[in-house]
Amino acid sequence: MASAAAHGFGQRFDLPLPLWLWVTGAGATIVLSFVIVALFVRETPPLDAAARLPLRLSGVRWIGSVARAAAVALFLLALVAGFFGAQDPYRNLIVTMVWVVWWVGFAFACALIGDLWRPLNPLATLFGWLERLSPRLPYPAWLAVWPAVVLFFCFAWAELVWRDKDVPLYLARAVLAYSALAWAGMFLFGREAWLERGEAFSLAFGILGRFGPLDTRAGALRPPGAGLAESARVPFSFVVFVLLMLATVTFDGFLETPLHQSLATAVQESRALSRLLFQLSELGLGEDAAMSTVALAAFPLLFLAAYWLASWAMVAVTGSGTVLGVACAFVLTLVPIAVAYHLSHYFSLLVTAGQFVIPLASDPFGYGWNLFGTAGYKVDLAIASPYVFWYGAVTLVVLGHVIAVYLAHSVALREFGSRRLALMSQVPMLALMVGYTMLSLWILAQPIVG
Amino acid sequence: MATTTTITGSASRAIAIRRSVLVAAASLALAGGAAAQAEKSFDIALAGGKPLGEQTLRVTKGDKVVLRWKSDRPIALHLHGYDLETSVPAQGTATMSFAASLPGRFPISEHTHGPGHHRAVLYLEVLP
Repeated sequence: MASAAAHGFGQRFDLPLPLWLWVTGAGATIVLSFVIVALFVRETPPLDAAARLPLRLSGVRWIGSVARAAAVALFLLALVAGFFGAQDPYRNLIVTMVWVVWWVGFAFACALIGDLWRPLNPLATLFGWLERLSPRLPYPAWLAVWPAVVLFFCFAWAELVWRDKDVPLYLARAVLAYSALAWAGMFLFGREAWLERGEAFSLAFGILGRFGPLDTRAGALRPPGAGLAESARVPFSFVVFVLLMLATVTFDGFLETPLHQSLATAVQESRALSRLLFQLSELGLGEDAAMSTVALAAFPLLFLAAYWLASWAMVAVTGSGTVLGVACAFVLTLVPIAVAYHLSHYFSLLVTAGQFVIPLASDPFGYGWNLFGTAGYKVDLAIASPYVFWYGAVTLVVLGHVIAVYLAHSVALREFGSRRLALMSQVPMLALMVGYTMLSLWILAQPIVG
Repeated sequence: MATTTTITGSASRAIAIRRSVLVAAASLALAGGAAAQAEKSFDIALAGGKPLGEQTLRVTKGDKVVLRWKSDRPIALHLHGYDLETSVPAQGTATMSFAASLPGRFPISEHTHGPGHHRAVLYLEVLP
C-alpha cells in the first residue's frame, strides 16, 4: 500500500531496472569509489568557501514577496478544497497538492536548487501576523531537534501507512492540525527557534536544500552537495533526524518490493508475531497498518545501527575521535545517496501524476468548474519513458554515490587532520556507502508490487 | 480517470479485429511496414481471485495482446493505465484485447466499488 496516493494516482509503475543495467550501475559504483579514493591519496581537492559565488540580485526582494504570497494562497486554496470540495481524491486539489506537488515536487526543487522552503514556508509567513504577541520563551536546550524527529516520524507514517491520506477532508484536517502545532511552537518559543528545531519540514527541506547549488540563506552559489560538508558537527538529535529521513525514503521503495510482501505474509503466518500484530491492531490499526508501523519504526533503527557501526569502525581504525563525534561529523555526507534515489524513484510519478494539476487548476474543488478551460485534460502516461527512467536512475544513483564519497573524504580530511588517517577512516565509510547505494539500486531493480 | 472500455464476450472480437487493423495500418504508416506485429495471447485461470500461473505477464511495446480470463468466481477486472475493464462470470471466460502501445508496469486489479486499496491480481509489463 506504499504511496497508494502517490502511485495509485499514476496507474502505471516504472519497469524494474533490467539486470544488465543494475549490474553496470553496481560496477560503476565500485570502480568510481576507488577513483575518488585515488584522487584523495595524492592531493586535497578544494571544497570550501573559495568555491562560492555570492549573488547580488536586485529584484530578489520583490520576487520573494510575490512568491511568498503565492505560497500562502496555494496553501489556503488547498486547505479550503480539502474542507469544502468534492471528496473524490482525483478531483480535489489538496491530494495532488500535498502528496505530489509539494512533497515530491517541492523536495525535488530543494534538492536541485536549494532550500526554497526557508523563504517560502507559508506557515512562517502566516505566523508573521502573530509574531509581535509571542512571549518567546527560552527553548529548552535538552529538547534539541527531537520535536522535529517525532513530527517527521508522524508525517512519514501518514505518507506510508495511513489509510485515509487520500481522503481530502482528513488530509485537510491533518494539514491544519500540523499547522496549528507549528504556529503554537513559533508562538511559544519564537519563530526561528521553532523553525530550526521543531518544524519538521524546515529541517527536511533544509537538509535537501543543502545539496542544491543555491545557498538561500547567504544568497550564494556553491557546487552541488557542498552545503552538506559546510557545517562542522551536528547535534545527536540532528543525526537521528537525518537517518530517519533517509530510512523513510528507502522504506518507501522497500514497501513495494516482492520481498516486503513475502515478509509480510510470513509474519502473518507466524503464530507469535501474528498474535502481537493482533494486539497492536486492537489499538485501532488494521493488521497491515500495524505491521507497516512496526517496520517503519524498525527501519530507522537499522539505519542508525549500521551508521553507528561504521562510525565505531572509523574510530577503531584511526584510533582517534569518539564514535559520537564521528557520527555527528559525517551524517550529512550520506544525503546525496538518498537524494539520488529519491529523484529516481519519484521522477515518473512527478511527470505523470503531476499532470493532475492541469485539470485541477480549472476545478480545484471538484465542483465541475472550468476556470481556465483545462478541466478536461487527460493525463498522458506515455510521457514517462522507460529508457529515461532506466538510464536516468542509474546515472543519478551512481552520481549521488560519487558526490557522497567525495564529501565524506573532504570531511575526513577536516576531522582527522592527517591524510593517512583520513584515508584509513574512509574504508568503513566507503563500505557503508557502497552498501547503501547497492540497496537503492536493488530496490529500483525490483518489480513494484502495489 | 479516463474513459473506460468494457470488453466482454463476442464484442471483444469485433473490437480486437478493428484494433489490429488500426495498429497494422499505423505501423505501416510509421515504420513502412518493417515492424511485424507480434500477437501475444495469455490464458489466465483465477482461483479465489488469484492467478494459478504467472504473476507477471511480459509483452513488448507494439504487441497485440489478448488476455483470456477464466475464474472460479465472478470477478470484475481492471487493467490500469490502459483503463480496460472486463467482467468474468463464475466458471466462465472473458477476453481483454488491446495493442500494447504504452510501456510500463501495470497492475490488473479486482474492481470493487468504494474506497480502499486492493492488491493487484497480476501485473502486465510492457517492455519498450
